[in-house]
Amino acid sequence: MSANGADGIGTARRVHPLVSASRWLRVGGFPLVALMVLADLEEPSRVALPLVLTALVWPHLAHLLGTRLTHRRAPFHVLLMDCLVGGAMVGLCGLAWSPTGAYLLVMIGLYLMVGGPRFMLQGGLAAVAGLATAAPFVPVDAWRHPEPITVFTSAAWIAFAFFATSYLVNATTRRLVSTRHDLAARNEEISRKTEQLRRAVIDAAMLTELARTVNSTLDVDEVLQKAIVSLRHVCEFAQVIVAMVDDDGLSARFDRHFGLALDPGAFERLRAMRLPLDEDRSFVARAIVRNTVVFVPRVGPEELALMTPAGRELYAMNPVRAFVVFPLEFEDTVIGAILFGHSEDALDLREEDLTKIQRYVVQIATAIRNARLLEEARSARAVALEASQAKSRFLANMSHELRTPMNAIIGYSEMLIEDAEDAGDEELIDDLRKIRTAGKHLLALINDVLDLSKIEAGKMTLAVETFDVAVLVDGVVTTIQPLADRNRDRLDVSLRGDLPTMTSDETKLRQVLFNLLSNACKFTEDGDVRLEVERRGGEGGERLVFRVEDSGIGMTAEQAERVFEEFAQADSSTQRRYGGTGLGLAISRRFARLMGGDLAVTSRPGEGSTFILELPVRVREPGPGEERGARAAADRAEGGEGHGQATAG
Amino acid sequence: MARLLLVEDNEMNRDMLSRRLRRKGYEVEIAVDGREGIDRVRRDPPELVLMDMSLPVVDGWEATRTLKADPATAAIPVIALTAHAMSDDRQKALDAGCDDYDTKPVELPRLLEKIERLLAAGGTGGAGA
Repeated sequence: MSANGADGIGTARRVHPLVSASRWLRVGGFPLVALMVLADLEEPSRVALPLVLTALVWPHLAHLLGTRLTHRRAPFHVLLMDCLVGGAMVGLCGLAWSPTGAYLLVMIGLYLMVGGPRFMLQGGLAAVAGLATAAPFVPVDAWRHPEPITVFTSAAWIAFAFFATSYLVNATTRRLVSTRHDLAARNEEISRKTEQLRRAVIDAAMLTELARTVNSTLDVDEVLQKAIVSLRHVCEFAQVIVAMVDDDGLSARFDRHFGLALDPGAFERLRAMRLPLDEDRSFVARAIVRNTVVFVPRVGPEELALMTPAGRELYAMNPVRAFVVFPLEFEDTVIGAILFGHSEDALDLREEDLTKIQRYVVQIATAIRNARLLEEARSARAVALEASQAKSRFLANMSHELRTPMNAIIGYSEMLIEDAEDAGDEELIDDLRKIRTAGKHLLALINDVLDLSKIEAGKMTLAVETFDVAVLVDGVVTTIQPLADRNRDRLDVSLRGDLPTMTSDETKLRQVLFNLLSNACKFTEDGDVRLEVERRGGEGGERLVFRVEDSGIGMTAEQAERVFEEFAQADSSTQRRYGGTGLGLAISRRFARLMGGDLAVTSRPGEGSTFILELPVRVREPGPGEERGARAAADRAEGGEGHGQATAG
Repeated sequence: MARLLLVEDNEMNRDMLSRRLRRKGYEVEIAVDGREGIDRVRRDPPELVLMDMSLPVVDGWEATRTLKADPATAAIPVIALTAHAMSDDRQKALDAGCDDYDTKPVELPRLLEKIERLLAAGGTGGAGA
């Protein structure tokens, strides 16, 4: 039978302790009962055979029943049957008080022990039933004086039961005690494991916290402080000192510290001292050179002797009892070392402690690396900014220096032209005009280069004002007319509908329109140059579209593509024939974009070109890449003009 | 003909522009820096000042501000001569109190037109004052 059927799955069938114990109790007990009965009977031969057979066979039959029956109470039921059978055997004595009393006493006592009062009662009833079953077949004489042999066998029976019970109790107690020991050991194991787990969880949480700090701050000191606090569950360190390898790789220097009670001057002095790396005698050097953990559990005279002057100085400032040095490794390179100092007493760190600390050191190395990268990026940016500003300054200065002599060249040549005109010297006038034209071209180049460099440096700002578009167009056309006349072009202007006042950079718009129209006139002979201005609504506000169309030489698709690049005139012969700096369209497009619009071109060779300039009626500041403009807008916003303007771009 | 003061530090530009203006009949006084320009205007006020902007000692913007802040000289028109037609240069000149501006190299006819216009306006202004 299954003693504990509910949880017996997968385990070997275990016999109930009661069943296994009752087997030998029966084997010993029933023959004793039989003996007791036989000893009491006057004519034992009459029942000897069935009695002995029952005593020998029943114990095994009962055991068989006990193991075969599967319900939970089966062993108890078999025990009740024992009572019944035993009762019937004893009943053959005709209820003589000695064997009957001994039998009932033993069974009731035994069953009380095994199954409690209720089971005792059941056992008693079964025994009485057994007695009652046998009694009618024999003469009943309860008060018969027992024979000495009966007294003896009854005593033997009681003694047997007593010892058997004692043994059973002892076995059970032993088992209970050992189970309790087992449980205690298991409890201990569980609490040990729980504690380990708790520490691991704390460790992981602290590492995660440290990693988060490393990712969220570039302040190495903060990371060091956090690491020291987190490491308290491993070891109480009083201070951390970081040494970094110098750029030449030949020495290291104490770089920063945390937890030292030092005045800044003292550490600065320490910082200036080199820790040579050519020998690995000193502890920090050894950690760096050998890329290994150096653990000094107790600082004694020998250890002091090994220290470098810098190390001794540090020790003099801040004596520690023990310390451990970890190399700081990043991307397979040791960039420095970190020293954890312990000032209480000697230090006992196990391998697993060092492993734990190592995990924190990795985070610290990352923090230091991050801080360094940022520092490098900052200085690289500063260098680049300085270089860019130097370039801008140079260009500004150079263009100024170039312009001054150009002014003289142009001015004097104009003066001479006036002289020659007075004298009527046509040949001289022609030559002088060439000088003046070349001078003006050079000056235009200088101005354009300056404009471009200003745009590139992000220093080109918009001078925004409100102006009348029609008046502006009128002025530009008046200026352009002589150019059109020179090539016998018909200049046609159409302003469609009611043109609004524009809020933008008038000077830049004028420059762009002048550039587009002068180009159109330049590349068109005996043809048409048209300027159309149209107002267009749409998403993101009203826009003005300026179309400059000519019937000139036009461009191929490839040429049109490159036309907005610097010095990208269609070819070098164009330059010779038509003049210009080759920068006008590049500047024009950038101006257009600065004003929040764009400039595009469509063209066919031999048929002419159309440039389309599209600009918002109201410029939105700041334009992209307009650092100064952006700052100005921000300043205005702060000045109380509201955020709309500052964020509009 | 009108008496002008040309404040210009570059010798060649000074020589060239003064000669061309004299040919057109103007009486041209010279100053080589902003300080001297202010002194000359105060000592012997001209009818118009042509002021270069990048000047040593005291620059053109400062000199113009000084002249325009002084009631005795505020009415004298000042034309700024800027090196490059950048809009911020122009704006700076006008902010300093210049009445007009022109770019170098000067186109003489354009400059003469500006001078004449200011002289005409200044004449009536002076008469009113």
